[in-house]
Amino acid sequence: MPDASLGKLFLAFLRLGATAYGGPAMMAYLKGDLVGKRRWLSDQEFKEGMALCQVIPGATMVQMCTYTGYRLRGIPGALVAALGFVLPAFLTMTLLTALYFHAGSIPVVQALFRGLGAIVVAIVLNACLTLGRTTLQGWQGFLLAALALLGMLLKVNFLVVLLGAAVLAIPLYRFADARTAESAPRKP
Amino acid sequence: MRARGWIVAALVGAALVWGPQLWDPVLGQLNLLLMKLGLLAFGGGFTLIPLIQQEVVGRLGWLSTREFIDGIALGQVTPGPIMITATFVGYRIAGVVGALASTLAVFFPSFLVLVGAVPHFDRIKRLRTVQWMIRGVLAGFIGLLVFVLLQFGQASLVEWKTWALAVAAFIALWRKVDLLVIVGVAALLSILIF
Repeated sequence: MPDASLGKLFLAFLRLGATAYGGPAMMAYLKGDLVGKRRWLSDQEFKEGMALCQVIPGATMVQMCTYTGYRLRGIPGALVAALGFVLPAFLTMTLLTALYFHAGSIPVVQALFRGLGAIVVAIVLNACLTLGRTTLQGWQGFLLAALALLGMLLKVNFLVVLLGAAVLAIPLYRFADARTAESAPRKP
Repeated sequence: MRARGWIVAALVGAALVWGPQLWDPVLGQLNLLLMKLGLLAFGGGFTLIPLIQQEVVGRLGWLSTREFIDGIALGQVTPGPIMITATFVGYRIAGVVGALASTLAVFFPSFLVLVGAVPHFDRIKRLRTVQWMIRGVLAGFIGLLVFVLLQFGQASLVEWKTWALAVAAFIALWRKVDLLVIVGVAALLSILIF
């Protein structure tokens, strides 16, 4: 059993939370720390955590930290891990937001955010493509995404759009899975 | 033991809405909404972006698309999850108290779901209908993200300089240049060219 008091957990995740930059690429860093360096999770446990995060809502990295805390010390561990990881982000975000709303009318700041706004467009486009590559496997995914976009353009409520995608997905993917099962060679 | 856990969870959830509600009615409403959206953010924190755009910016008009885009930009230079953009929204509504309340509200539901789901994961894995539905929701989110992309493009890409910056940033992202480097270079350039 790895040595992990609640205090140690908090500090470890605080450190991770303060150094976690750059979105999805961070997952490898997280794994290196939790599985490689500290040995708090086995390779298998990490994989299971990732699989779980794919079927439940939430920020994947926060959820992986929560999962690790839960595995080590139950609910108190989960709480400490999540709080530790989010705290640095919360503090820097609050500070930057306060600066933004106080200095937003200065011309330099306005010039700055004009450029950063363009960067955000690139980031969202990049997210569409990377998320799309992992989630839209097969024409069914593209069809559902296109229908969702159409729904949004027609000002359908987003909850209806998402629920519709979920319901339509059942026959679409059931059919797809049945066909792959048919064409795959049978297990002996 | 089990029942006690859920009662505590329900009390915390209620406190996250009623506490802010006493401070500022709008903040209570925002927190309730963020808890709902936090529960819908399948596929990682990024899916929260179209949800906030849709509800807080579009339906309620509590902040403008431009402001929200700026908030997302700030979220890129802070460490940690993109969901922290909720902190920006909370601050906009009710200052530091709003920032704190909104942060807790957006992470709390998914925290509960995780803690509740870990012991049952083996069973969840076998529920194929649920898996199909989640795949459908994830595909739907791509549609929502494209919709947000159009809205953000309309608000941000106002002349050729911003277009050029966005295209350059996208190529850099695609080539896996570090995000902080991209933001840093873009920040310097923006001050010079705008």
